[in-house]
Amino acid sequence: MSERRSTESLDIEGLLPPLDDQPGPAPPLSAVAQAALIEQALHKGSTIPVQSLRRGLIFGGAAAITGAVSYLLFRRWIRIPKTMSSPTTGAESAPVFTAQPEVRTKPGVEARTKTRSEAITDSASSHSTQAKKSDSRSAHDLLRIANERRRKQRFAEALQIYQQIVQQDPTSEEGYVARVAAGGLLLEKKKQPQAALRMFRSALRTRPQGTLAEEARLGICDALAQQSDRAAEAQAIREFLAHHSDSPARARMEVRLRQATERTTQ
Amino acid sequence: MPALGSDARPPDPRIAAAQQGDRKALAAILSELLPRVRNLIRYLIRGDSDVDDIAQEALIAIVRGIPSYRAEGKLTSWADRIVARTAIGWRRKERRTKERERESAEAPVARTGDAPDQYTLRRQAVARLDHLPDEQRQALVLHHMIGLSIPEVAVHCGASQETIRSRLRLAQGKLHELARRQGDSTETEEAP
Repeated sequence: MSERRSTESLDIEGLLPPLDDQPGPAPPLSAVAQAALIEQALHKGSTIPVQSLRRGLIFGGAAAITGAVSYLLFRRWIRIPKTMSSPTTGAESAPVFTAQPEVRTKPGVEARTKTRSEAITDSASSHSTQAKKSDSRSAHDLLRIANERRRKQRFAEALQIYQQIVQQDPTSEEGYVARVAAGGLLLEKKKQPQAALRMFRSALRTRPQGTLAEEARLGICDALAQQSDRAAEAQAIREFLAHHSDSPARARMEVRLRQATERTTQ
Repeated sequence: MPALGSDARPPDPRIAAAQQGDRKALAAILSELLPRVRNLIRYLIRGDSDVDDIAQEALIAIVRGIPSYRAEGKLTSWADRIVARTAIGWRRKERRTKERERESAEAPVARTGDAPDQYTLRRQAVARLDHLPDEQRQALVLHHMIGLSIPEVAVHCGASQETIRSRLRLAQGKLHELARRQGDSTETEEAP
C-alpha cells in the first residue's frame, strides 16, 4: 500500500467528492425500493448459486461413479456370488448409484414397509414443496420486474405486478414489500386513498414490526389526509409518532398533527 | 451502535451475528451499506439506469461473502472492493456505451438555488466523470476514492501498473480541463 495515493500528486481532491453516506451521486431511492433491494439480496444471497450447485453435482456425480467402479472391482476381487448383490434383496442389497438425491432410510425396514399410498403422499408432498419453491421464486422475480418498471416510471404496469404478487404470495416477504409498494403507487399515482389504505393496513397486519412499518404508517397518514378525514389522520399520526419516535419524519409529522388537530376542532 | 466503518471502536456485534446467520443483523448491515454501495457504483459507471441492478448484484455478493469477512479492516473497505469488482465485471459484460453516453449527456443536474447542495455537487462531479473513458474512470475512482494502491488497481482492472499510472495521469488531466471549462462557462453565464 506504499503507493496509495502518493505517486499521483496532482490536485484531484476538489474534483472527486469523498465516498460517504451523503446523498448522491446515485439518484435517490425510496425506502420501499431500498427494502426491496435488501430483501432480494438476502433471499438470493442465501441460496446456493447455480454455478456452485452445478459444481457440486459434478463432484457428486464423479464421486458416485468412482464409488461404483471401486465397488465392482472389489466385488470381482473377493468373488461375491451374483445372487447376493441383487438389488431386490432389500437390506442386503448393494448400494445403487443414481443421480437422484439420496434418501436416508434404515436399510430393509422403512424402505420395505412403505406402502404405495405412503409413496404417493410423499411424492405429492415433494411436488407440493417444489411448486411452493417455484411460486416463491416467481414472486421474487415478479418483485424485481415490478421494481424495474417503477424505476422506469411505468407505474401502471408496476402496480399491476405488485398486486399480482400480493394475490399470489400474500404471506411472503415479497408479498409484504409489494403491499407497501402498491399502497404508495395507489396513493401517489392513482389517487386512490381507500385502496392504498387497504394495502398499508394489510401490510401492517402481516408484519406489525416489519422493515417497512414506518413507510406503511406514513402511507396511512397520507391516505387519510388525501381523504380529508382529519380526525382519523390525527389519530394515525399519533400512532405513527408512538411507534416511530426516532423517525426522521417526526418533526414534520408533529407539525401535521397540530394542523390536523386544529382543523378537527374548528 | 458502532458504525460499520469505524476502526477505533469495538467491532460491530451485528457483523458477528450476521456471520452466524442472523438475518436481521445482516439486513441492518446491508441497509447501512446501501447508500454507499449505490454511490460508489454511480461513480464507477456511466448513467443511472444500471445502478440498482448492479447494487443488487453487489449486495448478493456481500451476503455470500460476509461469512468469510475477517475483521482486519473496516467492513466498508471490504464491501467497497466487492462493489468495485461487481461493477467492473458488470461493465465488461454490458457494453452499451453509446446508450449510456446519450443518457448521461441528457441527464439534468438538479439545481436547488445559488449554493448547490451535496447532491448537486456530486451529480456535477459524476457528470464530469461521465466524460472519461471507462478504464480511466475506474482507475481514478479505485485509487482516489476507495484508496486502493496502484498494484491493487492494476489487479482489479487487469492491466499493468504502468498502464494504471498512465490512465490516472490522463484522467486527472481531463478532469481538470473539464472543471476549468465548466468554470469558464459558469462565469460567462453569470456575466451581465
